[in-house]
Amino acid sequence: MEAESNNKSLGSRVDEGILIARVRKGDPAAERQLYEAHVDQTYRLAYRFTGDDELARDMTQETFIRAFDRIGQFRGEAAFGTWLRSIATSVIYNGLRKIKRFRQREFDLDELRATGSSRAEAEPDLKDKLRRAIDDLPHKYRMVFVMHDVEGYTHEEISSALGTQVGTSKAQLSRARAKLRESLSEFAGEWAS
Amino acid sequence: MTEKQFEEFVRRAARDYNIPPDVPREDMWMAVELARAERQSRGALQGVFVSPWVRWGVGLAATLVLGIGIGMNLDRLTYRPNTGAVSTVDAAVEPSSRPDAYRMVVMEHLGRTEVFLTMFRADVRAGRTDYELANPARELLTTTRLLQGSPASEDTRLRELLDDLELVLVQIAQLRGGQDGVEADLIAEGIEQREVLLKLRATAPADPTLRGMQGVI
Repeated sequence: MEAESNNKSLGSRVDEGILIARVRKGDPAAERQLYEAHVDQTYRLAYRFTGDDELARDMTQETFIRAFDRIGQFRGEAAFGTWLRSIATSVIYNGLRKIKRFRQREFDLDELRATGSSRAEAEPDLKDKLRRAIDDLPHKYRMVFVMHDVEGYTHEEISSALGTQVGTSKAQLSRARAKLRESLSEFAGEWAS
Repeated sequence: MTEKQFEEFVRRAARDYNIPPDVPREDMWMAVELARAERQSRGALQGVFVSPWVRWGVGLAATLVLGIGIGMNLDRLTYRPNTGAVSTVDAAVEPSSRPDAYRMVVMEHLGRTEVFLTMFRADVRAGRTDYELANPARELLTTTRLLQGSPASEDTRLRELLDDLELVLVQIAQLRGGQDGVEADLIAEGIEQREVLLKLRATAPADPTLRGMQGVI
């Protein structure tokens, strides 16, 4: 069973190698095939981080544009998906930093406008609070948390994509969870239910 | 609440975090293709315009060669032997064969100008005129003016085309990078109204080897 799985994996790597060789020669059909094979995963990841279709599209597109432009640099030591994911996380990470600076300015303005007005808003429910807590995580923690706990990547995959050690990925996930637990402490009674 | 229970809760609840919609595969693929095509054409344009001094040197050399070629053609076209007999040397440069060589020079120039104006128009439409346009426009303008003073102007259609090109290239040569967006729009409009590109395409052959000459500009 395991041997069969290994053979399948080897087979798909060989197929992908052929596909990539065709892409290097400028075969548009091969580019499209490679795109189709990886676009869902890339878009999902971008959307999970941004929660915005337009941004997720931009990031996904930029990822593939970079990948095709740099396909000559892909040495085939890792799977193409791993290499692509490292491009995607870099695009997403840089994009999020820019967005954060922009949104921070917007937030500051909103805060100024809201000063003096009464805060009659109801407390957000647990899900909203969790969403906000995830949004507020430092980017590096959020990256690992979303990839691991939301999208189900392994620490090996995460560390390959982010160019870090597996131990770093585990440590950052642990810190991310600790921060979330701290943020959600007021809902402690609801966790177990 | 134990650590394990909390992890379980977070994993369960986080599944709803930014749930992705259907993947807009087709739209994104089109955008990727378009962006890559644009980058490639822009890269080609930047390749043409990279290093102003090198360009200027190459452009000047090309202009001189072209000028000499035109001059030689002019001499040949105006030279009439007194003897009335046609020597073998004269036969080799018989006026009937000269237009072919001359036509090649003209077509090459028109091909380059077409590439330049097509990219200029595309960049104006995309709101990108933030690069230096004046130097390549001036280089093309110099050649255009040389051709205006050459036998090319004897062909009415070609003379009119060269006049149109001169007007457009003068305007582009006066643009300042990144500061003349409106002006660039007006020039692009002028190109449309005067049907400059249509005329260019009708005159210059759709020969890819001539398009390949763009790197020499």
